[in-house]
Amino acid sequence: MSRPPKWLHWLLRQCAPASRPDLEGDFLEIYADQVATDNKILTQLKWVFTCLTLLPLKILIPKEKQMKHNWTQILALYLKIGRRTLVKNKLYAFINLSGLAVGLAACILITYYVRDELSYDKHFPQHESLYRLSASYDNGGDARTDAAMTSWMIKPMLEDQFGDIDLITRADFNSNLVTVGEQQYPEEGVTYADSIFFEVFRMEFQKGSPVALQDPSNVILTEHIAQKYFGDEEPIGQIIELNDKQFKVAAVTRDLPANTHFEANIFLPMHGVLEWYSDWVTSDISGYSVYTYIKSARATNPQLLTNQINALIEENWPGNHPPQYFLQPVTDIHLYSDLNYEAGENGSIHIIYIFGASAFIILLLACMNYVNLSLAGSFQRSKEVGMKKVLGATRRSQVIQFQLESLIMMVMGALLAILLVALLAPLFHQLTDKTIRFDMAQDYPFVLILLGMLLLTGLLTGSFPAIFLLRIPALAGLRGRLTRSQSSRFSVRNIMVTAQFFISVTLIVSSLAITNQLQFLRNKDLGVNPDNMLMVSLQTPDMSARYELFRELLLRNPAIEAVAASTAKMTNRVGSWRSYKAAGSEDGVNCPTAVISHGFFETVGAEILQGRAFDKAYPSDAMQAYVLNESAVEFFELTDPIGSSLTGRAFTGSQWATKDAKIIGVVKDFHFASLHDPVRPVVFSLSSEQTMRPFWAEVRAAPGQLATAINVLEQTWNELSPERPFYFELMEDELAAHYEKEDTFLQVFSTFSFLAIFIGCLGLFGITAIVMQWRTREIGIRKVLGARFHSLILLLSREFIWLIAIANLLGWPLAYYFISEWIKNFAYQAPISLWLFAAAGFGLLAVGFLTVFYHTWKAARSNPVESIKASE
Amino acid sequence: MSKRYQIGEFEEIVMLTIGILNEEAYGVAIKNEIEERLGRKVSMGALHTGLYRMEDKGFLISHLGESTKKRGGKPKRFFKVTAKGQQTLKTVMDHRKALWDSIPAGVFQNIPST
Repeated sequence: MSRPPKWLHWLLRQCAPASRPDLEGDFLEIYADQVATDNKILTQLKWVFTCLTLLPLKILIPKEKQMKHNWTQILALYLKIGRRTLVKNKLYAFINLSGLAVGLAACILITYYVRDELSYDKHFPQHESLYRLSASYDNGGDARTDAAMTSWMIKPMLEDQFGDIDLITRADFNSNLVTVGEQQYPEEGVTYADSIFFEVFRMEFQKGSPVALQDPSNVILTEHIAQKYFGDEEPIGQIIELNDKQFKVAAVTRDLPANTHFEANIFLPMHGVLEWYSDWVTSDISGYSVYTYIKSARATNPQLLTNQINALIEENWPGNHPPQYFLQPVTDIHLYSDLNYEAGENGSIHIIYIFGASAFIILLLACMNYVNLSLAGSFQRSKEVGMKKVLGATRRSQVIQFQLESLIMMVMGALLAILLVALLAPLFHQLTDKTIRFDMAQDYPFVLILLGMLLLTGLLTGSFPAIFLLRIPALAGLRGRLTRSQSSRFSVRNIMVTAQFFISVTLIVSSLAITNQLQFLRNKDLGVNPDNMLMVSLQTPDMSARYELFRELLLRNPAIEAVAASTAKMTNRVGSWRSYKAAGSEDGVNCPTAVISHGFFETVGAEILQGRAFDKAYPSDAMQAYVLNESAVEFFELTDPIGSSLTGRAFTGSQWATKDAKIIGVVKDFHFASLHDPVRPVVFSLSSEQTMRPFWAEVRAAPGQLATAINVLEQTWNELSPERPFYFELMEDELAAHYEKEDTFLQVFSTFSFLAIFIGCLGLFGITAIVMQWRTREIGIRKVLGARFHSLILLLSREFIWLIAIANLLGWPLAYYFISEWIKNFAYQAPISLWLFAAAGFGLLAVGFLTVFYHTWKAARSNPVESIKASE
Repeated sequence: MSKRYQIGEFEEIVMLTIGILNEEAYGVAIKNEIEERLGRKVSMGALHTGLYRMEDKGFLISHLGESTKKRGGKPKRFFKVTAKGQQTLKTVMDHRKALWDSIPAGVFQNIPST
């Protein structure tokens, strides 16, 4: 007889009530008759409609009493069976639970992290209309500099043109020394801002109002600063001192949350501190010195505003090559902006993606484990399913049973995970500098998401074993005739084990490569010797003027080997772009400039390749000499640099003047800044009394005398400048700080990799245990027939070793792709060597083999008589 | 006439057909029998809904037969008319008969009188 096609049968089953199997029978009978005589397609079409006419019956019938299950009893039964299964298989329950708990905990932590990263600056009211004006500056040459800072003069210019449609504020975030009475506090986040600042960035005021910033002699503190300075005293009306100028505390704001792209603790009125800036700041529009923020009423079309600004600038720009301005939504700054002179350490959207993906992968691995283990273990339950089928359990109720069981596991896993999160919170804080606040009650969206995630994963993972078991015919299940071939040789299992190891391989290779690259950066020859180098900020103009004295006093002590000075901190990216004109060229090009003292190259250990360094024997060096690094020689396209002329500009105490000079030496390229960037061309000029004074001293301590040197430094400092606290930095620390982001990334990433591998191994461990259980009898028989121990081991572990090998082959190319993308961030790249891949592959193979070996060993050691009997 | 003896025309036909088929009264047979005897199409949905309704009202009783290979392993459901059903059929027939008998002779001219 002919049967209807599958889809029609399915439709029929959907339309006909399940409690009336005779209906389906009737249909099949009539269908067979009709198809024999009529056109097939027409008949089928007719049957679609006929099926639909059954729908009323489906709605009618379930009202009947006999269809009503006693769900409370059924659920109680399921719980009982679930508990027994768990207790019976303690090992698998443990593996499952720990995998789930670890996976969920990682997920929760990552969710916290991502949520915090995404929340930056969203706490400001009307944050949607907040923009930062940034610009791309032309330096001559090919490279443009994208900087977050803009000229001080942009604000008045825009306001002239646009009136007060937009609120524009300048802000400058500094570190400074604050004097309160007798006490001195070095502070970060000392903010110089226009009085309109609080209109743009609305903050809550605890005392006073934002109007306070209109008075140039006022200062506004945040709550915790006020608390620190004055304790429980009334802060309003108190006097604090910065740079020898007095300010009156006129208002106190609430603290800015940590998820703000800048740090601001003390607010000073911009027009009250203007004297602290050099004159050029307020007169030369080409410089960049402050941040400009705009709260735009026209925020719906930022592009239009940008175009207007650029048109305006182009019109009013004094020279050629005006910068290209662009608006950045303030809420995007933390994740998307990576310009020069950012106001604080920014995050990266890529990290968010990587973290999100990791959370997903780890949870996926844990779920795979669950599915794998329950599939592999399901043969134990085929009898139960068979029996229930015979007793008339519906398909749906059985699926629900398995889903309920996995849901229970999920809930238990979640509880454990929450415990883990609580335990790991300090570690998390250390890794990411973020604090987790456990207020689950207030955090109901998060709890809801967690619950939703649990429900979803529970239902999904629960339905896998259910569907698998329900496919087995009831009788086969009852007889326990569920052989391995019947369970389709568990191709699902093989795929999942391979997938787990594939993910692990990718993660391991990537971690190794990141470690390798960081190692490479640390060991890279910088061209200078950062060992035992101390950097001391001279802090005040007074100390700058007394640098020579400071140096002489220091050098009297044998613990100090050499002292030199520079105007900028050497471990920062070399800035101070100045325009130079090389001999024979028409146009000036901009090149970074470092102003240094005598003996600088010697002190830092840089090598002079040609000519000479600045020398006290030549007093003309101050105004008529430059030293170039190799890159700069290339940049100016000089073939014979020594003696050729180079015209630049020099600051002569109060103003900029043209400096006609000759190149007296070439120094080998050396690198203090981050190795993300290649060595830049740098022009070195001499710091002197007539030009720029040094602000940083670089001190080399004698080998092994670092502690003594610090003491000497502090004593000397206190003699010369007792009013300021002594402050130094170790050059090695500062260099390492360039890679802090990468270090954190590596730590987090390797933690994830470890978790992934851990979960993967748990899974493999469980799977092997179950497979060995199936094969106990086979192993027994083989032993009886004389199989040797090692051949048994080989036989049994072969399958898994194959899986791991395939996972390696799949994972390597992917890992290679990731690494080569990531390593593009660096100007100096460690070669991606083969041993990374080999090490990961071999390591995983070893771990996998050990796992398998444990079970195989156990199985192969057991008495064959016992094992043959056991499986009967 | 009390309400519980009210049945529709289709229900009456189905019950009578079940009577005709006796031991062999299951879905497909009932459908075929009605279609053959009365020359009208019977939809599966309507037939089974009707059967279910009458069983619910107590006019019919059913039991499942043996599974057979032919019907995809699904059993047949055989119907019988209960005493109440029979009573109802009889009542309906009696009422009709009484009505027929009360029509004065010669009023229905288009049909030959019996």
